[in-house]
Amino acid sequence: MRVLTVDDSRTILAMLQHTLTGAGFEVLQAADGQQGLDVLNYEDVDLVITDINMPVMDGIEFIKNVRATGRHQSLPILILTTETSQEKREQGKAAGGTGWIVKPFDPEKLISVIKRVVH
Amino acid sequence: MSDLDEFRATYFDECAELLLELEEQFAEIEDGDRSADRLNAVFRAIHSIKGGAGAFNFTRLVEFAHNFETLLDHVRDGRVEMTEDVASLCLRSNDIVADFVAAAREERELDADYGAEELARFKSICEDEDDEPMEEFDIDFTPVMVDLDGDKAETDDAAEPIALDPDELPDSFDVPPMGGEGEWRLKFTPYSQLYERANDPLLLFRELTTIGEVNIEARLTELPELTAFEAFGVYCSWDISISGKDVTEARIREVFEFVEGDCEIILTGPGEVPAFDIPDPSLSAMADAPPLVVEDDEPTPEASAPADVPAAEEEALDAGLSFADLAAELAPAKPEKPAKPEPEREPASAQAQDSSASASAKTATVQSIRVDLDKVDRVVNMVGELVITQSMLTQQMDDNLKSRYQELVRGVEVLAQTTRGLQDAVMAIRAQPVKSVFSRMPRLVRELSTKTGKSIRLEMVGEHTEIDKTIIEQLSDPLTHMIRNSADHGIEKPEKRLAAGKPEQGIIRLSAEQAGGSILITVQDDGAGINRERVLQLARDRGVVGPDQQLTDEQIDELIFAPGFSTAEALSDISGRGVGMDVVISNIKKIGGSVHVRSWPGNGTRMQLRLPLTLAVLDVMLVQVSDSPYVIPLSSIVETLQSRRADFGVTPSGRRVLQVRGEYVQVVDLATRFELPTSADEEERFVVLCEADGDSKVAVVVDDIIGQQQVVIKSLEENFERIEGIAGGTILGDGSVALIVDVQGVRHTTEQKSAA
Repeated sequence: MRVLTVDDSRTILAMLQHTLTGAGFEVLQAADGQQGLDVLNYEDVDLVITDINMPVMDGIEFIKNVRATGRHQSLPILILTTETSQEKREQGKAAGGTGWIVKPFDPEKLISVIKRVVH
Repeated sequence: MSDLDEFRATYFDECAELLLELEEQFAEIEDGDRSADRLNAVFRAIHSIKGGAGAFNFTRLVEFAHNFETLLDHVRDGRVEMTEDVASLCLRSNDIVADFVAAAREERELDADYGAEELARFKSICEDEDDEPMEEFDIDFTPVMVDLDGDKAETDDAAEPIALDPDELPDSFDVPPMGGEGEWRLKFTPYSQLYERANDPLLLFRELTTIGEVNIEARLTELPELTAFEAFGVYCSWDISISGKDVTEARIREVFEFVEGDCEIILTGPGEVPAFDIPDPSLSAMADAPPLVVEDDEPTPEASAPADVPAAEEEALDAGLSFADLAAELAPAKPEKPAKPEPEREPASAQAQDSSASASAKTATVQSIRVDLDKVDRVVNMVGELVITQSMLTQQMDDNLKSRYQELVRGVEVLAQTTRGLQDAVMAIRAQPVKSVFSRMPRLVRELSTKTGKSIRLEMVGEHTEIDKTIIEQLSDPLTHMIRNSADHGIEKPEKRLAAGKPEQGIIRLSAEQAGGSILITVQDDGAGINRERVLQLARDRGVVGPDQQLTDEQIDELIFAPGFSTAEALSDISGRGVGMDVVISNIKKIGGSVHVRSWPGNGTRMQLRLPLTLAVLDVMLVQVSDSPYVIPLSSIVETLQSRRADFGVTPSGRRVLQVRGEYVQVVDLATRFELPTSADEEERFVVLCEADGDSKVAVVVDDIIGQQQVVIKSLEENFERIEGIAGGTILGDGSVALIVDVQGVRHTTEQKSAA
């Protein structure tokens, strides 16, 4: 299974990569929403995990753009965010996000959340 | 290094970058730029620092960054105005964040009340604006690094049965096991947006099986007639019962956490009266269909999908039921399996549109990759070898060969050109804008301004000028010193400035520009200029200058770089940081740079660093001394002339000098210096006039001048040991080794020798 991780923080990307590859996933990375879209344009993935606060194109815009392409309507997208406030989550969901992970994440929890949204 | 250590290293690397960016952004904000982009960038950077800090449990950093971020959030959405006061709070806080990061990296604790004042200010400012209490940030969360390489590596395999024994389930949920044996009943009716957000009932059911025994029954009563059926309509709902000792409402609700609001969930606890409506008896065909049961011991996703149960298939004699299959198939909104072929076209065109849209967007963004510097250096080295090989090939081409093999000659010419291009391209990879060093300076000037009580403005020009990364790393100390010097000794106190008819605020101008093969970095202030009388006096006192030695104004100015001049006494606590200016300057010289100072009494001082563009390749003049090849860096050569040994004069102190256009220049005979056999005195010798410290010159005497070329520097220290007067070695086109003459070094040692 391939996962696209989108975050402007290298630390978070590295931690995600470690956890996900450890669980047997193949990991693709992008540093912002625009890069994420570029990757999705020519790569098939089974899951997207994206940050909200990013330069160039933020997570909300990114999700909206992903959903706007017919091909990715059933692609699960998890929002990765430190925002504990309901507001960001709601925005992410309204844009088409499938679920969310609150940073800092616990690797076990991360995998269990992923299992909830992918086959 | 453990994984966690590695992440920490990544985190601190990233923090360093973010802090640098914050410095830049805040400098602009301080200058009055409050654009949304800038405020967003600042917010994001602090947010990222906080995000990582949370992962490593740097609680104080998290707390401070969180509150700082809240303030910035208020500022960017306009709830709090960015007044001068708030701006200066932000600037201070930025420094505090940097200190917290440094403390975390060095694993030391800062004072308990460090940053407390700012923290209180954040809270009071934000609370003034909205009375909502500050949201608690969960900083008690301790991340656990689990080894996921083991059995759990198969979790991505959907066909793999999920651990069903509740006792074996990971105890990762904080809900205390309560409630119990009874049966929970759930009526689950998804809305279309559940599918639009890529959630899938099938996965929710699978998740439910992890908390207890599950029995799922699809309700197909809403299915319309074939003519009214919509491909993306949502017609299916489910009745679910869950039982098991660990089943609680909270655990069930958690499964449906992501789809809350996207579906209707009616949950009935054990013993409660089910709120489910009784199936309509008129639709007896459906009601009579056997319930689609998922047994816990074979919970493959396929089996839990109502559509795939063969029993249903057999009895599906009327249209209604076979549509149930279709509905279940289509429900998760998979465009590749539509009922009608037409919808295929739309996604395809949308996709094409998207690809063209993002392709055009792509051209606008600069794409980059991170490469280990070692790898780049390896390429630089190999290109170096290529340059040598290429020049060797060119040298081997004698006229005979050239006339006979014209194609070969052309090929070698093209090779030479391509090699040049390749070399430039590789050097460009190592080049970085000086901005990374420049951007640390505004903070320095701010600090100096506060400490000295002087009003100072820093102007920066040309921060996008690019220069080799290694040189950039060497730049920070000299620049810091030069700016400290300007702020401390150059710029006058406001009263004094006003009295001299100058504006109250002093200006330090930091600029970078490319000048030929080098980079000029200039620090210029509009202060009082160098107090030559005092500098000369100090120099005489310290024995740097002999009592009778007469110096020109320029020479006096240069004294501030002289070894042994800048001692603690000469410097205030700001300029002096233990390392004197001379050490800093000698570091610059080591990388092939030079420093000049000019001062205009009453009008300011200009210090200029001249640095090579790159360290790896050097333009040199190839000379011969006693049959051995030597190279002299072209950048230090002023001119070449012919002379005889007899023309050299001798000073009373025993130094040999040569008169060049009325100026006496110290002579360094390389043959003598390196103790090589010398040829007869009468013979015509070549003299290479080189620029040494400042404006002084050295006449380097050699036997012959061979020509100019580019060489790749090989370090002597790395491969052998340091030799005074030799800056390094290089391999020539014919494979022989030539030493690179360190003009400054040979002059110095020759002086010592003749003095001895």
